[in-house]
Amino acid sequence: MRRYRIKVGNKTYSIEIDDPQASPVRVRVDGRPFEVQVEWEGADDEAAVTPEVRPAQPSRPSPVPQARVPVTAPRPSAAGEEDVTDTLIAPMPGTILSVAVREGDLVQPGQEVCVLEAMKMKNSIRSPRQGIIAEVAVSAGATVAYGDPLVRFQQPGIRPQ
Amino acid sequence: MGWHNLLDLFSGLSHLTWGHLVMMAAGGLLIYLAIAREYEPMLLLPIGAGCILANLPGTGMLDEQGLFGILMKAGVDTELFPLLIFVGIGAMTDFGPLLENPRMVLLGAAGQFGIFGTLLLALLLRFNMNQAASIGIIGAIDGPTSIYVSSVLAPDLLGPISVAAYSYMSLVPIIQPPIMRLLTTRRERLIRMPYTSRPVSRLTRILFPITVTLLTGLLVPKASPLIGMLMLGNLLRESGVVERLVGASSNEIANVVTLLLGLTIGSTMTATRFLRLDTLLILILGIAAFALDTAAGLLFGKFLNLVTGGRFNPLIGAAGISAFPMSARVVQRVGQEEDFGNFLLMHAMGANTAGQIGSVMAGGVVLALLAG
Repeated sequence: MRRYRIKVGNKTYSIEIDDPQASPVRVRVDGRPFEVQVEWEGADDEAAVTPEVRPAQPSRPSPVPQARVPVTAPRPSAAGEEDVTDTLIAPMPGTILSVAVREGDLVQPGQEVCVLEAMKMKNSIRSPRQGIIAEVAVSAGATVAYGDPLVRFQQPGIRPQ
Repeated sequence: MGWHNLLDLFSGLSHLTWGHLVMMAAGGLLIYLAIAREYEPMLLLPIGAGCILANLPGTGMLDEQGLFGILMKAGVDTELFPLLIFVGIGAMTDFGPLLENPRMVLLGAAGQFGIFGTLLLALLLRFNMNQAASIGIIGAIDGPTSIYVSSVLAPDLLGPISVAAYSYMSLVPIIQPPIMRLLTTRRERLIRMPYTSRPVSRLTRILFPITVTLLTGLLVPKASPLIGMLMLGNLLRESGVVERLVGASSNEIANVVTLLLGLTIGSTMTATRFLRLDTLLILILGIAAFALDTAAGLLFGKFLNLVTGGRFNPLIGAAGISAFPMSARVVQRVGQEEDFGNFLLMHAMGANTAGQIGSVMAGGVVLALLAG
């Protein structure tokens, strides 16, 4: 169970997500349950990873059963103000063996971001989208738990040249 | 010194038959696979060496007082070697992924159904009941359990059965994926299953091996020696206070016994016992058993997917066998072929450790039913 506070305009919503990668995702907005269907539309379509409801737009979110959510799972932050759509998280606990990207790198969908060793198996963690790396949150040798951020992408909408 | 003594020097050569040569070549093949292909080298290298040594005529090593005679009597006839190996496996196994996901136990059980399918096939091929059951156990790809069961039920088939179980262990990444692709749809393979983190307390980890041992002892007493040793090793590990015993079980004891067991198994591959049609049939039935176990696991995975409303990736079912961690890794790879962002590894590890327990239980059930 993950809890988020999302501020849209002046109103704050409390959001609870049982499991961000389940299908459908069960979400409670201020206690009201919704089921959200996530559709994987291929990695080359950047729109697929862009949520319809962006925190930046001051409109009241209208949670409907078929809302799109990002394939990268949201990650809470202390302030609750962080962009929740553009963080690639560790899919399972393990150790980072190597990191293949740096801040400012343009990555393509499917490009290796880092290698995560879990249960003595090396797992290539690949970028689900095209984008520019805004921050690399891990370094080689780091131990990560499930859900820890690996890299953050720049805000959606900023297109690389 | 006369001519007679001089001829004694070459007695090996004069007793050499084509059967010896074929078996030495087979031993050489196992050694080649171990060294050049790294197919389970820890096991196949000693087995290959044992096979070559046992087929050298006139060495006396197979005699009751010879090296292999002593090892066979001390370690295999008494079932001592597989049991000691199980202490090491227990000390090396982290049941955490299973304890985080207890429903995976079901897959470890489902993966054993191929045993009974193979048993029926083997009966059709005129193996007797005890032999057929021993052959069925190959399907779980559990070397020590296969050796344990066949040394009780079908000692004459010990060589081919253990060679099959250990060789197929290294073929897991080749045999399983085609079956997995055949029996699942792309849509099913694409089902994502996020890691479900549930912290497992130290107390749970300590109570688990004790509880399993007690339950097994009461329900399937014949499985107790194997489960008891497996869980003893795990208790050592989880207790956190006997580092040296954990080290001894998982390194020194397991390595020494693996060497001795491998040699002894290899020594059973003599021309007269191995060069028979039965051996070929056992190798074929072993593959069938493995394929059936994989299929049973996958079908049960599909069933779980049905009852959970499409939230369970059936690929994980294929990991309900004993080959750890090869099978779990295969599940992860096949899942990622379809979607690189899908990480099934931890779930598959849970099913895989359940498969380890399941195959031992199945061995115990077979022994309980047949050994009387």
